[in-house]
Parts: sequence; structure tokens; C-alpha cells
Amino acid sequence: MNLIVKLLFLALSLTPAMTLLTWDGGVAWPLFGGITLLFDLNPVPGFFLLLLALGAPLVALPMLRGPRDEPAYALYALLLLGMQLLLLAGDFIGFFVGWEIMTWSSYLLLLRSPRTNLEGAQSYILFNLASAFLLLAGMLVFYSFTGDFRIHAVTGLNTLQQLSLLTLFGLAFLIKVGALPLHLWVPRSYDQAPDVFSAFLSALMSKMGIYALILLLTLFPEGLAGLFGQFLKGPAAGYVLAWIGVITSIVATFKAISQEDMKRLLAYSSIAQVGYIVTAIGVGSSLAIGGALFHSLVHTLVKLLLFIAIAGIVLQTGHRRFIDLGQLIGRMPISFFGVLIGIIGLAGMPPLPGFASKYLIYVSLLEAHWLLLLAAMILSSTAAFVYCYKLIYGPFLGHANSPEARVATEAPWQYLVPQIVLMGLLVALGIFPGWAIEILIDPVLTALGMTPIGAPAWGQLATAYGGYDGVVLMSVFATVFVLVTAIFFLLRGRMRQAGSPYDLSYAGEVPTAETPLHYGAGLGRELRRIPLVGWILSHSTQGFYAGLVRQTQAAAGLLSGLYSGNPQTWILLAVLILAATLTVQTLTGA
Amino acid sequence: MTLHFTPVWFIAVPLLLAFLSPLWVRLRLLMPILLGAHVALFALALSWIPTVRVAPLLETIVIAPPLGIHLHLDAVSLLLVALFNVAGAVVSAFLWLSHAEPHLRGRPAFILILLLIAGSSGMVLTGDIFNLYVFLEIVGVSAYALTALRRDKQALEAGLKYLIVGSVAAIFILFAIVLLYLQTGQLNLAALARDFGHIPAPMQALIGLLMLIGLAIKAELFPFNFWVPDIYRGADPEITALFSGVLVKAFLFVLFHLVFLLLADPAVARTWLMALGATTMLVAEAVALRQQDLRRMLAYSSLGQVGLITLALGFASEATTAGALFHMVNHTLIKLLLFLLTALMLRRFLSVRLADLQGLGRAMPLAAGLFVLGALAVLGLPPLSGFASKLWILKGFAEAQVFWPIALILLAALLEAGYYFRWIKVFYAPEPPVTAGQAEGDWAYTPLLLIAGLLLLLGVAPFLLEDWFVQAAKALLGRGAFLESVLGVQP
Repeated sequence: MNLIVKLLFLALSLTPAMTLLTWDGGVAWPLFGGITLLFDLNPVPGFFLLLLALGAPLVALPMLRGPRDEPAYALYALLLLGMQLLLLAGDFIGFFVGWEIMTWSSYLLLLRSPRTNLEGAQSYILFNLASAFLLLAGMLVFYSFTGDFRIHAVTGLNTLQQLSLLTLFGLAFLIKVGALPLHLWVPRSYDQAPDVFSAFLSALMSKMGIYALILLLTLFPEGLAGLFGQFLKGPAAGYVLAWIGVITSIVATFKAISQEDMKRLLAYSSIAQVGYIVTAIGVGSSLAIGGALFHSLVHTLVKLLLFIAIAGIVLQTGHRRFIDLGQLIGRMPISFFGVLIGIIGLAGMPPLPGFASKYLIYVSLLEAHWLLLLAAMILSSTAAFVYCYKLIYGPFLGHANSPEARVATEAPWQYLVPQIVLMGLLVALGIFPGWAIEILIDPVLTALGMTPIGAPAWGQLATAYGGYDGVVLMSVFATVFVLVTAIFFLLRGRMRQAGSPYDLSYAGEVPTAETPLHYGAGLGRELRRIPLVGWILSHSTQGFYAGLVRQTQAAAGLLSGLYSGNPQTWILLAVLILAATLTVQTLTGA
Repeated sequence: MTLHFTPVWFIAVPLLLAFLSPLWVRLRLLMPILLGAHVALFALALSWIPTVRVAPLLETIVIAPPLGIHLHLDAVSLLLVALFNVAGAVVSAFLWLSHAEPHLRGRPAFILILLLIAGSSGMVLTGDIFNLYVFLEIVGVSAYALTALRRDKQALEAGLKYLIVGSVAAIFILFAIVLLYLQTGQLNLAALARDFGHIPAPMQALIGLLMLIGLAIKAELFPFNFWVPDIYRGADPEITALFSGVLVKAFLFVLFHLVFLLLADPAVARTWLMALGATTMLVAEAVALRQQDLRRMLAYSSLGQVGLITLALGFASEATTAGALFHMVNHTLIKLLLFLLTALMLRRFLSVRLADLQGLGRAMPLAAGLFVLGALAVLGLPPLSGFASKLWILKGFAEAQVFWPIALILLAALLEAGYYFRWIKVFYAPEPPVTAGQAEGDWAYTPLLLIAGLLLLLGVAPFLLEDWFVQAAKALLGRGAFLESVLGVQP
């Protein structure tokens, strides 16, 4: 029975893949009053459906561990259903239906974690509902302009109308991708969600916001360029969006560096990475959108890998803070490789595809002559190395700082299988960046009416500004890696083994086993001394939203004073209003 | 002898069954009869759909209108009567199948519930304004008595307060009716509608204002709804479900029926009614944020929805009216579900305060799940029916290029999410629940699951009832057709 339920759940998690492979022909579902929901598979959402199809079973597998949890399985299936509806929808109503099912089912899944507190849950649902209601408002405005809910390019709108659509939809989707300053819910929810589910939130649900932003571009005949003309060589309206993305990524990167908790670090890193994608969407050229799509793909794989690896560590040790972990490299080698591959992808270093995608975005910024943005993005991208380092150092190197970390064993197979699959995919994409461009991304660009990027060979990434050969690059790296490892193992016997983790060269006294000793944990504290970074780190939007909540509560308190329990007051009020209105009417003679 | 079905049955059958209650007590059939009566009347209502589509059905009593009194069954009144009987059936099934307190299963409750449903149906069906007043009093008296049925301090206090405020409202309405009669010499609604325009303008305003205040008290509109939370808190949740599900809907209908009939151009009152609705909605949703008692929270939520319906009906376009009628149906179903769940929670936890319901999801998983479903529906999230009706309303506003109600409705929904999800979070808190009362059998959930199924069905396939709502909206707005059907065809 147990096994059947679990197998059934696994089968359900394959539904996005089934949809992707077996979809034929559109489906129309009449709702009422001439509203018909249209569902069909197009190249643009198809790309994101591919991400979902990849990610859903990989997240489902670790969810199967432990006693079976039918409500969670059911909610996960609902969530997948919602996301598929969203992606297949050809009209706004269907899109909204999918969006909302996704919102509330993920909220209910979030509640299943014992760590979720009231603030976390409330901020998640309220931000997401605010996003949904802005979307609904945008849809209705769109409908009032066109008399139609189908998603299509609208012509003949004046600037004010375009701007109102852009504001409503833009705000809705920026909340979803967690752009600054609308990101409050992201770190809280990624942190508090069930560990495996965080992978889903970060890797797949944030991509729905990206999909929606790309969809937004298709509403206007010339994309963002048609709105306020050009700035340098890119769209002026996109320039604002690009800055939102870059500022988001810079701030989030520094926030990530200063985190003490693995999942919070990944949450901020997720915000930062999605920030790059937002920037690329702002540029809006074919290279940029290609880069955005490629980076979405890479980010999905990387964040699935990292969150699942971290979930494995949390499962085995019960700790999530860097300060409690360490020295797991020998005990959890596969997870170590998972995190290693993950951070190389995250940092955008060659030979993994994170480099290819970031390269495309950089090139697109160059092409648009937005050099200031490029510099800012490189700043954030470089700073990201620090948190990547922290992520590998904290749990795996140094010395173990808790009894659990000293005895932990490798994560169970349900956690390892997805990691191995994801590592394989990342390496394969690193070897064949041209394949991803040609097979996955170019069809989307063609569907968006842009010039495809193209690739001379599957192994090559080529742009007008140069490119590289993934096969050669990967071979070089692999050779070097094999050589270094071989030399290490050959010479190992002759190297003096460290007697104990405390056998360090110290100027003063040598630490004992009781001395907490951990390099990675405090990393990022010194950042506070840097003027601008210090300011960023010491400020957050939390106070603003807390104030908003307080003010609303105070207003509610004031209003609830009206609802007194005294019938005399009720009647007096009714009579007074009658008298007052009559007096006013007689006086004005209306 | 063939049975001749007429609209009078909606009123006569419950009254007759109530009179025969000693017999049912002896036969131990009280609860089956209560359920059976509502189910049968609902079936009867459904059987009339095709007839009413063609033309409204007039049931003359003694002499023809405008001199005699008559019942007027058109698409909208049929819709509401069917809805009331569904509500009656659900509540009676719940009382029958769950471990309800004895005072809710006894003869007084039986009689009063039948009277309440019959009176509400009467208010909706009648074509005569004095008759309307009579039904209004029947409904009022049974509601006061139902509130105080539990006979403890809280219930008695609530009953007394309800009696006071209800009587004051009735006086306002009676004044308006007297003035109308003095001015026109008519009591028939159609005749009044014909002659209302000839009354001098200041008098029109006075009558309108008296009527508006009286009905606004009854229909729970701000600033005349301060009594609501106290009454909803004091009465048993099963009874409150009927108040929120049936009573308010009947009064809202009467209010708008009169507005659309008496005013040749409803645009005169549009701003007033929409403003009333919008304030009711926003104030109630804001106040609900701070409520610590589930019954009070639901009372404010109910006020908020009433405000929304008023806002949509006040706009008086066909799309918003149809959407508002749909929302009325949804809101009745949702509030029945939520209040009956409250009853179950109250029996299990002996309190429905926020702090006492921690971890309810573990003690009563089905109840918590159904609560979530109801909350999602009331917030208007797909795929539940609340979404379809709210979308209909919003689409109506968007078609007319009026955007401020859209903004307010969405803001109110966000506020509403603020408190509903707070409760849901508490239900699923990791703390172990502290249950003091007894567990409920599975049978009690049958009517609730039925409602849940309906909410889902209407959300996924709202087109099933679309035609009925559109017809109902046309009937409610169709002043000319109403006048013609009553006055045009003199025998």
C-alpha cells in the first residue's frame, strides 16, 4: 500500500513530462459569458514546461523519503497541475487560474513544515496574492481595452494605456520573481519551507515569474522598445527594468554573503540570479532573451542540485547553520560533488553552462552599450564567488562543529539520484552549449519573432563578439582535474597526514577539541565595514512592511471601535443619519 | 385528483408542516420532515425553471392585482427560493446527522426554521408591499426566537438586542409603507412602481431614505450593521448559518427589488448604493483582521461579502447584477459551510477562539480541509465558484470602464486573505491540539461535503447555471416587464 501510493505519486510527478511529450491540439473550456479558456502548447511556455518536466520528478523523489504524507503528495500534484495550466494557457483567465492554483497549493505545502512561522506564511501568501490581484487588475484593464482575454499583442494603445498595463503586470511579475524591494517573502519562505520543497520554490516557481515577464514583452507590438524609444542601443523602458534587476542582484548577493544559514543564503542567491535574468529581459534583444532563457535553465538545474544537496545535509545532521557544520567532505562525498558542481554553475565559471548563459547576457549588455549596467552586473557576479566559497567551505571543509556533523553519513539514495542526474545534465550542457542554444532556445526566440542565435556546432557557443568550444574547454578541465587528482593520490602516501583537525600552524596556543573553530561561519561579517555594502546590509524592507501591517491593524482597531455592543447607539445612529440626510436635502433643495 | 403546483406551496407547505409538528414529534419524524420539506420544495423550484423562462408566473390570491394580493414568481425569485430551500435542507441535514444540542433538534427549532425559510420565500415572492411587511415580521420574529433558543446569557442577550434593532428597522419600513400608501393609495408593487414617479420629490426622498435605512439595518449595510457581530456571536453557529445564508440574502433582494422597481432610472441611487456597499465591504474586512473569535470573524467576513454584493448590484448593469446573484448563491453556500464547520469545531474544542484552535488540522483534518476550501472560495481563488462569480462582477465593471470598484474589491480581497490565512496557519500549527469536547461522527460531514462538491462544480463549470443567472438579472432589472406582467394583463 505504502509502495503503491508512493509509486503513484512519482507517476503524478511525471505529468508535466507527459504533457510535453504527448500534447496534441488545443483544448477549449467555456467558462461563462463568452469567456473561454484556451489551452495549447506553444514554444515559449514549452521551454518552461521542459524545466518543469525536468524538475518535478527530481523534487518528488526526495519527497518520497520517510512516512508517506498523502496531503503533501496531493498538494504537490495540484501545484503541478496549476503550473501546467499556467503554461498551457492561451488566455489570461486560464493563466490566472493556473497562477492562483499554484499560489495556494504551494502555500499549503509551505505550512507542512514545522519551521514555518506566522510571519513567513503570511508574507508568502499576501505577497503572492498581491501579485495575483495586480495580475487580475491588469487582465481586466487589458480586457477593457481589447474586449478580449486572449494573450496577444495589442496595437493602437496610447502611452497611458500601455503604461497602465505595464505597471500592473510588471509589478505583479516582479513580486513573483522577488525583485527588490518586493522580495521580503522570498528568503522567509525558501528558508522555512520543507527542505526539499525549497528546491521547487527556487528552481521552478520563480521561473513562472520569468515566463510571465517574457510574456509581457509579447503584449506590445515592439516589445519594450515601442514604449519610450531607445536609450543608447536598447529600449529605454527596459533600461529601468534592467536596473531593477541589477540592483536586486547586487543587494541580494551581499545579503547572501552575510547569511549564517545555508537555506537563507541560497534564497538570497536565488533572488540575485533571477535578478540577472530580469536584467536580460530588460535588454530585450535576441541575445539577451536567449541569455535569459539559458540562465533560467542553468539556474533551475543549479538550484535544484544545491537545495537537494543541502536538504540532504539538513536531513542527516539536523543542522542548517554554517557554524554547526563542517568537515562533511569525507562523510558525504557525493553531496560534496553536488555542491561543488552547483557552485561552479552558480558562479558562472567555465566549464559549466553558467558561464555560457552569463556570457550571453554580458554580450547583450555590450551590444546595447549599457556599460554601467555591465559593470554593476560584473560586480555582483564577482561578489557571488564569496558566497559560493562559503557554501562549499562551511559544510564540507574546516572542522565539524557539532556532534551530529561528526557522525553524519551520506544522504539516502532518494536525495543522491537527483543530484547525480543534475550533475550529469550540468556537465553535458557545459560540453554542448550550442545544443542548448539550437534545440532549446532558438525555437523560443523564433516564436517570439526574434533572430535565433544559432550555433556552428553543438559543442560551440558563438556570438558576434566571440565564443568558445565547450568540448575543448571541458576536456581541458577534465584532464587537469584527472591529473591533479591522480598526482594527489599518488603523492598522498608520502605526504605527512594531518594528525588531527586541530593540527594547525598557530602563533599562539593550539586549539583543543572544545574550541569552536570554523572559518566559513564568520565570512561576510567584515563586509559591514565597507561603506555602501554596510549600509545595504544594515537596512531591510522588513521595517517598512511591519509598519504597514501595524498601521493596518491600528486602523482596524479604530474601526472596530464602531462596532460597540450597545443597541441604543445603533438606533441613535440610524435616526441621526436619517435626520442629517433629511436636513441636508431640505437645505440644498435636492 | 391531480396535484396543482403553485408558488403558494413555498409558503404554505412549511407553515402547514409547522402546524402539524406535534404529530411529527409523536412519530419521531421531526428531523426527516424538516429535511424532506426543504428537499421537496427545492425539487419543486427546479421543476419550474422551464416555465419561468418563458414568462413570470403570477399566482393570484382571491382577486386579481392590483386590488388583490399575488405572488410573483420570476427567474430571480425562483433562484432565491431555490437557494433558501437548499440552505434549509443543508442545515436540517446537518442538525439531523450530527450530534446537535437538543434545543436545536426540538419542536421549537423545527417550527422556527420552517417559519424562517417560509417567511424569506414569502418576502421574495410577494407582489404586494404590505404582504412584504407581514413576511418581514414573520422572518424577524422567528429570527429573534432562534437567536435566543439556547437560553444562556449570551444567547438571550443577543436575542434581545436583535429584537430591539429588528423592530426599529421594521418601524422605519412600516413608516415608508404608510407614506407610500398615503401618497398613492396603492399597496401593489407594480402599481406603486407606476405611481411612484408622481409623488413630489421631497416625499420621494423621505420614503426612499426611510426604506433604505430600514432595509439597510436588516441587510447589514454599514453604518447600520453594528448589531451583526453580537448577534452572530451569541446565536448557535447552525442558526447563524441561516442568518448569513438566507436572511441577509432575502433582505438584500427586497432592497434592490424595490430600488429597481420604484425608481424609473436606478442611476439616481447608483452612487449611494455603491458607496454603501464599498464602505460596508472595506470597513468589515478591515475590522475582521483583529477578530479573535471565529464566529465574529465570519460575521465580519459575511458583512464584507454583503458589501461586495451591494456594490455590484448597485451598479445595475446586467453583467454585474448576474455576477452579484451568482455571488449571492456562492456566499450562501460558503457561509453555510463555514458556520457549520464552526459548529463542529465548537463541539470538539468547546471554544472557537484563535488561541484555542491551535493544531486543529491534526484533530479534525477533514474540518480543517473544508475550512481551507471555504476560505479559498470566499476569497475568490480558482478553481472554486467564488472565483467565477467575482470574475463575472469584475468583468462587468471592466466592460463599463469603471475601475474604482475593481481596485476596492481586490483590496478588500487582499485584506480578507490577511485574516483567513492567519486562521488557516493556526489550524496547521505544529502544536498539539487541546480537545475537550467529543469527536463527531462522519455522517455530520455529508452535507458539508455536498456543499464543497457544489463549490467545486460551480467553479469549474459555471456555465451550468449561467443562463439562469442571466435570466434572473434581466428579471431583477426588468422594470417594464414586471409592470407589464402584473398590470398589462388585466383579466
